[in-house]
Amino acid sequence: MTAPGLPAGALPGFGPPGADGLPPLHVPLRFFLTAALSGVLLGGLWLLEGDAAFGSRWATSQLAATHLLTLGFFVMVMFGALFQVVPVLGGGAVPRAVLVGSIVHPCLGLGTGCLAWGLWNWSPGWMQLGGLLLALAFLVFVPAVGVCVLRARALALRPVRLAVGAFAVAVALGLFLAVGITFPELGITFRSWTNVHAAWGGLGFGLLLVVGVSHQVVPMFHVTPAYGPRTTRFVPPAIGAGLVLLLLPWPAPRVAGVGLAAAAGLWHVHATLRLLQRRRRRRLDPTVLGWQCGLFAVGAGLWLALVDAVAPEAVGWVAEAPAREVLVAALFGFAGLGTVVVGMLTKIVPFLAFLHLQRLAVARGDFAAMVGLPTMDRFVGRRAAFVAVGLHAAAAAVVVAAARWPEFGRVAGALAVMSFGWLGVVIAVAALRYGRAARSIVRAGA
Amino acid sequence: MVPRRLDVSRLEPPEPMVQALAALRELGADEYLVIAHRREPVPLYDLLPGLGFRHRVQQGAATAFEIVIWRQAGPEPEAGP
Repeated sequence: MTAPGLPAGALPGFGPPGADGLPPLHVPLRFFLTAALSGVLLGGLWLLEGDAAFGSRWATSQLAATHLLTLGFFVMVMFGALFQVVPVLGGGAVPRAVLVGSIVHPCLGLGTGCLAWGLWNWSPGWMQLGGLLLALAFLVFVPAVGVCVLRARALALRPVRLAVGAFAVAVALGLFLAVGITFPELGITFRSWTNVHAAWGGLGFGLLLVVGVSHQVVPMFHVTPAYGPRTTRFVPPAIGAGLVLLLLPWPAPRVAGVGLAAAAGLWHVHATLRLLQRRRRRRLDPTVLGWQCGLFAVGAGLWLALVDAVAPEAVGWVAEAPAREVLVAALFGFAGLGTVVVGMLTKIVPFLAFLHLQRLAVARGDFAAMVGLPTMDRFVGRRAAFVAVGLHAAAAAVVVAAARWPEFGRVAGALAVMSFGWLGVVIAVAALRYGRAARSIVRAGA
Repeated sequence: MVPRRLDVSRLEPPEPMVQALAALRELGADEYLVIAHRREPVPLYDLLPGLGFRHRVQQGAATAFEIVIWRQAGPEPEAGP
């Protein structure tokens, strides 16, 4: 017997979305698992290339690694999470979420793989194939989610709206750069526009989405006071305004843009760390550890970018100018947003598993099952979650060191393989345990 | 009608929901539930009609919200302190 509304034989929770707009669990989980796989490939690439990858941000292997991290890990996780976050924040259900997920997930995964392979081997054909698949993924996903975030008036969705808009600009800039590679005779200033593309992707999509999500999940999951109105009202538009200034073709507004976006980001980092200090439950928590380690790294990356833009001579002691750019990316991306995202996954995956089991028990009208559901740590144990965050923090420390001393590149790669590999195991085990618990509820009610 | 009080204001999700459902399952015929919470538990509201309960929200004494839940078949409890 299956839950009402499910086809016979379908595994509950792997069926149609519920009335509350949450899509079935397999939709986000497949994105999260593929993100972990992309991370393993990224580590493998660093393991193979070592100091050649970390010697220059323009090394083809580092360009490939950057896209495995940004598209393969961050965008993959964030797309998967948006299917769940948008309904929860009041944006309603993503229309045809299962179909959208079934198109976007393979296109994003394969497109990232082709693009990374093409960049590594500097093969325009592979890059174009990757670009086409990615364009298809974005053309399906951005309007589907964009409709939800634009039609909803919920204040909580404002940073998400800005983040989705920033993502569209980052993609447009990426396509502009791809045209520049395909047609070099156009004379597009590749390096300068790459910085703008990276800023719109990292600060625009990455940071704005983390800001928007943290406004909701930090007070809710970690029992802290709410963010102050100045932080929620001014930080997202200030980051957006800084990014707009970066599009202007003169140095002064671009410096002002970096300064404004970095200062707003630092404000958010400070506000979040203060709130986490004031949380009511003081017990050690892997997700809180992920927030704290990640936000320190984001703050360090933003501070370095800010000083580098305003007074580069003041940070000459940190590293030479080209290495400073790699250092900013390593601090902000892999160490900062990466540790935050890994920590959040160790909380969100078991929470979603619990939520979907609860929906299943409700759909069956099984009050006893509703009360006796497995606790969240039955899906992802505390020790496993601490290992995931700890491994990523260790990998992040060595990646940051490798940005300054490229000879650490292979160690960084090995640790990245271990970190993302463990994350994949944690998510896969949670999915298996969820399936077992769902079947047991169905059997009990049959 | 006798109130049964439950304070979930310091619990992380999904514990407030778990404890609220457990308390509703054990609720006596002459009892109603008063939940003290720091935020409105909207997902709980969605479940209540299907479980045979109604609710109203009032400002709490020590917490931001108090959610009063009673059986659909029974009378609505009067507003208390």
